[in-house]
Amino acid sequence: MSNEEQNKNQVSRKKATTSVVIVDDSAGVRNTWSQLINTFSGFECVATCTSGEEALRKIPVLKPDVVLMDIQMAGLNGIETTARLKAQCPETQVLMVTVHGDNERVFAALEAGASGYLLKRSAREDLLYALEEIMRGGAPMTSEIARKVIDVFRRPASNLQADEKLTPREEEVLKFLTQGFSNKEIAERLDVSFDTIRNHLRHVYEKLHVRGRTEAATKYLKSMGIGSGKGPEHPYTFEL
Amino acid sequence: MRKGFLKHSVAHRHPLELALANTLQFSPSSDGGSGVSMKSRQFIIRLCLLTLLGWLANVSFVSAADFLVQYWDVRNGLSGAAITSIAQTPDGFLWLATRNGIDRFDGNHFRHFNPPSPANGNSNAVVTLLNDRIGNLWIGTTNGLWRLARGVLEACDAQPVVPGISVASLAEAADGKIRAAVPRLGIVAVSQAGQIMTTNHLEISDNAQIVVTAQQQIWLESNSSLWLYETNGWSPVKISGAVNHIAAALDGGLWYAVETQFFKLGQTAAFGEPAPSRISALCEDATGRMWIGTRGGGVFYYSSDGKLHRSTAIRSRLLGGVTSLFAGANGEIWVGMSLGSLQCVRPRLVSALRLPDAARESLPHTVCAARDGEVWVGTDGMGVFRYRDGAFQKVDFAAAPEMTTVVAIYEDRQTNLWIGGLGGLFRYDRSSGLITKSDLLRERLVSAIFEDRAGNLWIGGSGQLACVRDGKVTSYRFYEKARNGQLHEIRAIAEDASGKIWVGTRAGGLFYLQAEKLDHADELDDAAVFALHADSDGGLWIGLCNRGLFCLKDGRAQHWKMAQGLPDDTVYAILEDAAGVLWMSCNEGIYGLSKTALLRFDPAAGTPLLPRQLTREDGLLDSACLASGQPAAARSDDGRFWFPTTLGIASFRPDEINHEHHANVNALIEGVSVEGVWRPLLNGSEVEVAADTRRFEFHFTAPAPESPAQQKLRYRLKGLDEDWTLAGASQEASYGRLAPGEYEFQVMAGNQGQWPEQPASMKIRVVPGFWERRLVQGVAMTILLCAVVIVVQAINQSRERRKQQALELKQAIEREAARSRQHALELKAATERERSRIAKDLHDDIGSGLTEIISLSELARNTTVNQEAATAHVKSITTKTRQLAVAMDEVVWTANPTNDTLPKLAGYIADFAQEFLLPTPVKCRLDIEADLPALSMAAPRRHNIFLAVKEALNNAVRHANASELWIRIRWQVDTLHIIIEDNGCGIKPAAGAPVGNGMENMQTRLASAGGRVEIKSQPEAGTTVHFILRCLDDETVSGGESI
Repeated sequence: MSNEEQNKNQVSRKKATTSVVIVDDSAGVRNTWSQLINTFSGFECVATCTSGEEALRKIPVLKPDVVLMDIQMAGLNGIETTARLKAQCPETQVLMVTVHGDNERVFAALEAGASGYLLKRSAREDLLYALEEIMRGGAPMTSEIARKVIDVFRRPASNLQADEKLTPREEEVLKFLTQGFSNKEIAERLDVSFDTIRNHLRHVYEKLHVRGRTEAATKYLKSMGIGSGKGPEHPYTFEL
Repeated sequence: MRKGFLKHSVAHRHPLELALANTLQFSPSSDGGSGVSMKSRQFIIRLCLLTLLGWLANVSFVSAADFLVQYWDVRNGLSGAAITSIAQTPDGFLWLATRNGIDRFDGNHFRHFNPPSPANGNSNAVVTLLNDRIGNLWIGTTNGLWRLARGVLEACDAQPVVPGISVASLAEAADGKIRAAVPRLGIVAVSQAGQIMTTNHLEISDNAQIVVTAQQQIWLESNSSLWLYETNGWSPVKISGAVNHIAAALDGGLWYAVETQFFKLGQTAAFGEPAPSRISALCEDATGRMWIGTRGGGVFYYSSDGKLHRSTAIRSRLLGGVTSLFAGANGEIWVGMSLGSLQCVRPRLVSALRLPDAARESLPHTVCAARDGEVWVGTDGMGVFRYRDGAFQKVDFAAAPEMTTVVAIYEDRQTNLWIGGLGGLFRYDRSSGLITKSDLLRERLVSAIFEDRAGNLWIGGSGQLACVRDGKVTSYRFYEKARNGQLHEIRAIAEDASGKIWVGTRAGGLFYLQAEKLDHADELDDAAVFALHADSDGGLWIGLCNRGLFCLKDGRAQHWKMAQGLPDDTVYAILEDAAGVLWMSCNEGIYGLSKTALLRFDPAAGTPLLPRQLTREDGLLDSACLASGQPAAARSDDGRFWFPTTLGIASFRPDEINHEHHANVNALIEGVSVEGVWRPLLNGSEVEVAADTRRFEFHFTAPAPESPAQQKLRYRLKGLDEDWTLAGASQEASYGRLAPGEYEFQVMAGNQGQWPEQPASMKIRVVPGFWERRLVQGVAMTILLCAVVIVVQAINQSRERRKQQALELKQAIEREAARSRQHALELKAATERERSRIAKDLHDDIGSGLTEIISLSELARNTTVNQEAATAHVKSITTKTRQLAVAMDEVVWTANPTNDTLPKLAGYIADFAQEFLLPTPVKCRLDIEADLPALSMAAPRRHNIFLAVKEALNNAVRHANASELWIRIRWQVDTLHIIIEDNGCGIKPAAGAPVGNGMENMQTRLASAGGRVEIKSQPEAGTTVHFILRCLDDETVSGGESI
């Protein structure tokens, strides 16, 4: 009966929930995922956006807790959208949605400000787990991404501050990740709690974001003729 | 469906919690108005409030349900200082006087105004307020008398009309002069122009009070004694006892309070019972009811028999005593407290009957207010309850225990009660008290009961309609089944002014009775009809599910939905009151809309309807209604309307809900913030801003202190916006950069069903920057033209040069092209091979899987299969689909040329292995060299290597019984090593051939990729599968890249 349905919706609307916005140019993904999220208690899909442009209009107003961002979209892609979005709403957590084997893009998105990623074909439980983890502050990381993180922080960069480098402990955690150990196993091996590992990962993500911004700023300065003199090549826009 | 009900049960809270929700939660949010530094005091008060919540748990004030209370404090923007005086100006704003200044309240926000401190450094606290007959607000402070004319607050920047005097109390006398009680000086008469006309020297105390009665007598209370002004000056009036407080009486007399009692002047007997503590405020409301506030903080009223009743106002030592009482324009009482909070006590318009505990999990579908005063409620799944003598009682259906879901209860003229629901139809006989099953309509579901003007009873069920005329039963059928083959479930029956019977159904639209059969009315197509109401003017009002409200009148159809201002698109019930207002219930509660407003509504004008919604401020418990049959609402003989809501039964007298007052409230634009700089609107002045202004924020308000929920504000920026925008509670509108030109910001406040004719407006002129002026643009254009001419010439010259170069280049390219054509042919052959491989993969992996999913879906769809089997099929579909997605990923990954490098292959293997092994007991460990060379790896090769790895992983999972597996990828000089090492049971030689089928496959794969496999295995010591590929860059093999 439609009236009971409506009543049900009304009741769930009254509760304090984690708000989620889905950005994806596929109508199927938008519809099913938003319905799926609305079945999770404590989560509510408050809006869906069909493009990065729409996301940049809507999300700063809605200020959701989490954005599920398709990495590959026509027009403004997910990476650039993330970068612009994080500049406007740093509080909003961005979770990239990707297909398998898309590590390069995922990494670029993490540098641009995303705090996690998720396979498009994830099961219901995986989606719920990813949303819960990102709300707890730490998102899981696969071995390939961990490898790239170590790589990028080892790359010489002239103007990095101390707090933009990895601590030895963080590097240790990442190393274990590259070897395929799960967060739980790492916690056992380092004799620390699961939450500590989660904290380390959160710091790694934050440093990645700082690095992403510094790098973008450096490129921007270069494009302004202060550096090598090449034209702007990085998609990020910054107000310096 | 049950789940939805359970969710509702959460809302069944302890009555005290609800009372708190009524009092505290829906206080509107603050805009943080006060500029006074009161941090420590705020902290203490907040602490007190928290304590108060705990303390309140022991106090029961909920039972006095005739009144409701709302509460505001520092959290809403009040300054926390004692509210010593309250006034309401004719425009509707409420004004509060405190030591820190004045607060203006519009129902949503407090706005604070601080009279400027005088130069002599004396404090300037506001003590008293007076609203005079012209509508000016007089403000008595400790350092001067001020006046605000028609809400123009900026007058606060001006000088006081009478500087220097300290004012304790103000009153307006019959001569139009303001009398001010000035401590240590006397009574001062001030003209409207602010001139001191006369001064009567008297010993006046700091808390003196001056009052003018309706008979134009001027009374003064000072130093606990009473004085009267007569032509020859002030003379004392002898009273036994010390006078606390005086107030004018409606009949022209004077009330005065002595300690805990109060008297009408001239009468020796005290009025009513004594108060529990000393009376500190007194007022008589417009109905003649007496209200008192005490120093202990209680607010009481007297019933006509002189009995004292505690009102619902919150009383606590932590809120302080009552310092002021004020009867508002609409029957509400405003209470100012000594520790700075404000309360509003208003008559409860909607009473609520909560369902008994036994039915908490259920929802009421129908209500019947019987003539003997009993209220009958039909619920969903919990049967029928009868309310009598203040309590609900379950009604026993001896004849049919399965009668649990009841959707229609109706009392006919013979006071027989008819009960319809999922168990059929029942009749309750008042005289015998027996409930018997009726066979008037033998249907599983009886969903509508209706009595026409002639007294014939009509009963609707699923599929037929029956009528009882003079004891004879006629039954009517539908001409045809509903469009989707379902039965027509009758939801509503009505008789129009001409005597025609109309029937609304859930599945098939609207029908009318013609020639003994039910004929379809085409106007509504197959919309689900939930409610029908035929009025005496020949109009038929139709409430629809999800499609709003319809009216058929004089052959014309009109239609309203949420877009036109309805709170919801579903209408469950329609009742009309004596004033021609339709009261309707929906998922968003109950609302009233006058028929004139509905019929006059012009969809083209874009002016939304303003329904009178019943809210918690009116006493409604929950704002969601429902119904599943008729009657979905009831009218009792005393004129009360009864509606089922999700928490119980709401009832109200529509004539008590005033519909038209305050209709000409006007919105007020306070000003505009231009990039953060505040520009007030002064006397219709025009604001001028530069063209590069990036942000405008218009602030506006409209007074509705007693009913903010019933007011809607809308605005537009003329010159930019075509349409009006409905404003939220924030009462501001923001705009970005505006093109140069003239704009007019307009605001309109819709209240009590009406929009005013004229909006409030403010003019904004955006002045163009110098570059936007014509002359500047002209010069720029000329310069641009010259530049273009020069550039064109330069381009022509270089084009000649380039033509020559291009000729030479073309010859070189042709040579190169011949070479690359050859290469392209080779590439094409390779591509063809790859294409057919992909096609095969798609066919084998995806195609067969899809076929399987189709057959599984068919099985699941087959209705004869039981629920369990269907669930199992759906589960298989999920598993299969996920497998397909993985297979699809593989195909896509292989086909994608951007993955043609060794590091990408290594990364993919790592990702795949982790995902593949995750659900198995085998833990995946990785040891992948960090600096693998970026060798090119064409798709077929990549694919073969990947499949070989997959095969090895498969073997490890299936046969090895391992707990850990390592994948190592190494590059040595020119050779790639992929080693898959497990700690399992090893390959048993006894198992037959040393290499199984899977092993053979790996050999074949590696051979086609140009490598070999070495397998080492020890029983119980694990297996090592080693792929060795001497790698040449694929690009080198194919002879370099073509240009």
